[in-house]
Formats: sequence, C-alpha cells, structure tokens
Amino acid sequence: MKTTTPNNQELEDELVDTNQTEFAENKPAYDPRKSAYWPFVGYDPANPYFQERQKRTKYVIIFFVPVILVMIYLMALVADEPTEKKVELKPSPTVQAIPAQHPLRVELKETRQQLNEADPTKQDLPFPPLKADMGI
Amino acid sequence: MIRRYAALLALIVTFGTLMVVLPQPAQAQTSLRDTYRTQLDSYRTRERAYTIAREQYLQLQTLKALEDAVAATRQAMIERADVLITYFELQKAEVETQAGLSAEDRARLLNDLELMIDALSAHREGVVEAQDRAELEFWNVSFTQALPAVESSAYEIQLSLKIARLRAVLDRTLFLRDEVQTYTATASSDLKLAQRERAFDEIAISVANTETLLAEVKTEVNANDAFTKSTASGYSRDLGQVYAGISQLLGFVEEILDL
Repeated sequence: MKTTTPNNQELEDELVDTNQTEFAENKPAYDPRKSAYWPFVGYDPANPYFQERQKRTKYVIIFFVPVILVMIYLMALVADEPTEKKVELKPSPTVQAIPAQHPLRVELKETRQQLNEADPTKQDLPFPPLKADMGI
Repeated sequence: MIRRYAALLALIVTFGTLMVVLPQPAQAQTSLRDTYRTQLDSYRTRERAYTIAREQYLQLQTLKALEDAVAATRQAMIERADVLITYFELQKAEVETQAGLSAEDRARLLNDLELMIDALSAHREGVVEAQDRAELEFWNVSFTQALPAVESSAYEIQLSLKIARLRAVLDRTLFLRDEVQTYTATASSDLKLAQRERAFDEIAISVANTETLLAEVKTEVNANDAFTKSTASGYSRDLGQVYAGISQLLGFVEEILDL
C-alpha cells in the first residue's frame, strides 16, 4: 500500500483509472485521497475533480440554504405567539412625606407611650386589702 | 480674689451635695413605694398572728392567751394604720406631680389627703397608747365605722388621677395635631391638601366627642360622694371609651403624617 503523499499528477492518474490488472472489488471502496478534504492534497483549481466538487458545493448552497431559510420563516409563522409574561405590578413604595426621625413622629411615638401609661383599666395602686374588724 | 473663689467653690459643693442627698421627686416616690410594699408584707404577717392569737384566746380563755391576743391586735392595728398612711402619702405624691389636674382640683384633693392622713395618724396614736382590751375595742370600732369613707376617698382620688392622666394626654395630642397642621399646610399637591383638610375635619369631630365624654365622666365623679370598688370600676370603663377616642385621634394624626 502506498504511504507516500501522492502528488496531483498521481491523483489525476488514479482518477483516470487505466489499471487493467486490478478488479474493482479488490480496490478499496473508499479512497480518502479522493476527498476534497484530503489534507495531503493541495487544492488545485485546475484539477477537474476539485472543479466538479466546487460546482456541486455551489448548487448545494444556492438551493438548500434558501429552502432552509424559508422553512425557518414558515415555522416562525406557524409557532404560537409567546404568552405574555404576567407582570406583577408591585405597589410603588409609599413615599413618606415626613421621615421617621422627624420630631413630629418622635412626639407622636412619645404621646402614644404616655397614652398607654394612662390606660384607665390599669390599676397601678389598688386599695390595700385590710381586715376591717380586729376585735378580740 | 481667693475669698471670692472660695465662696463660689463652697456654693458649688453645697449645691452638689444637696442634689445628691435630697431625694428627687421620682426617687422619693420609688422609695415610698418600697416602704409601702414592705409595710404591706409585714401587716399580712401581723394579721395572721392576730387571727391565731385570737383563736387561741377564744379556745383557752386564759389571761396569758388574752395578753397575747391584745398584743397581737395592737401590733396588727398599728401596722394597718401605717399601711394606709403610706398609701395616702403615695397618692399625695402623685396628686402633687400629676399633669392634667386643674389648680382647684389639685388643692381640693391635697386637702382631702391631708385630712385623711391626719385622721389615720391620730388613730395610730390612739392604738399605741391603748392600755387594755376595752381601749383597743374603742379604736377598732371607730376604724370599722370610718373604713367605708376611707375607701371612698381612695377611689375618688384614683379616679381623679386617671381623669387627669387622660386629660394630659389629650392636651398633648391636640398640641401635636396643631403642630402637624402647621407643618403640613404647604402640601405638595392640591389633592394632598384636600385630603389633609378632610382628615383634620374628621379629627375635629373626634376631638369634640372625646372632650365631651371626658367632661361628662369628670362631672359625674365630682358629683358623687360615696365610691365603692364597683362604682369606681364603672367609671373606669367609661374612661376606657375616652382612652379609645384618644387612641383613634393619634391614629388619624399618624395617617396625616403618612400622606
């Protein structure tokens, strides 16, 4: 088996198969060297093989890419419209007209405290429980 | 020059010493409360001892048992008087410092308290000097007869103090309302200004109702001569409505501050 890198002339010779001694079944089914991506083969625009490949590639691009684009467009048309996300309306924070440390708020707090101390249901100093009659 | 500074220094030292030595009104009241609690605990012990001694005498009918019973009775009656004197001293201290009392009411209450304290002190002296069972019985009977009036006086003063406390808070609330009204006079928008005006109109109605209720309770309390525990509770419930009215007023004021 040949291991050396074939040059373009050799490849052209192989493409134009003049070998009469070898049957097709004996030849390898796939010759990677015939691939346009064969790394050891330099691209030769004059090579008819590459020209053929180029033509095929062009046809593919010209035909299939628009088809794919049209398919994508049609899919977009057919697809459901995305449901609108429910935007939770958070109430805007209440802007206090008067801040917490304002003297009026402090006064309000102290007045409320004084009111709590003045609760009439609280009995701070009840009348002492005393025995009235201490006769003998 | 040195004399001048020395005099100034002496004045500062004297003043500072007085500030430390003389009890401040709040401190005096705290110490009086501690005294009251101590006396009340001691009286309870003496009352139990009196009960035991009396039962023993009734069972044994001996002179020794009688002597013990008389001693226990005397001690219990003395400590009972001490408890009441301190109780009214505490009420006197509160009446002297409580805001919301008119000068007339304060003078009347202080006068009643002085009379009560003097009467109890005289009772105590009489018990101390009592020599026998008969004299003790005299003071026992006089105390038993005077106790309803003593209680009534105590309840009346309690109610007057409650009314005064609510009056003081209401006055403070009204002052706060006026301050808020002045401060919020320049509203940021016509809408807020209109809202605040409506709020203050509502507050005015609430103030009128609360004032009327407080005045009614005060008139009834002043007109009543005899107070018991149940009548005092009834007036306290009425004052509860005044308390609720003032609480509502403070809530309104707070809402205006949040506008």
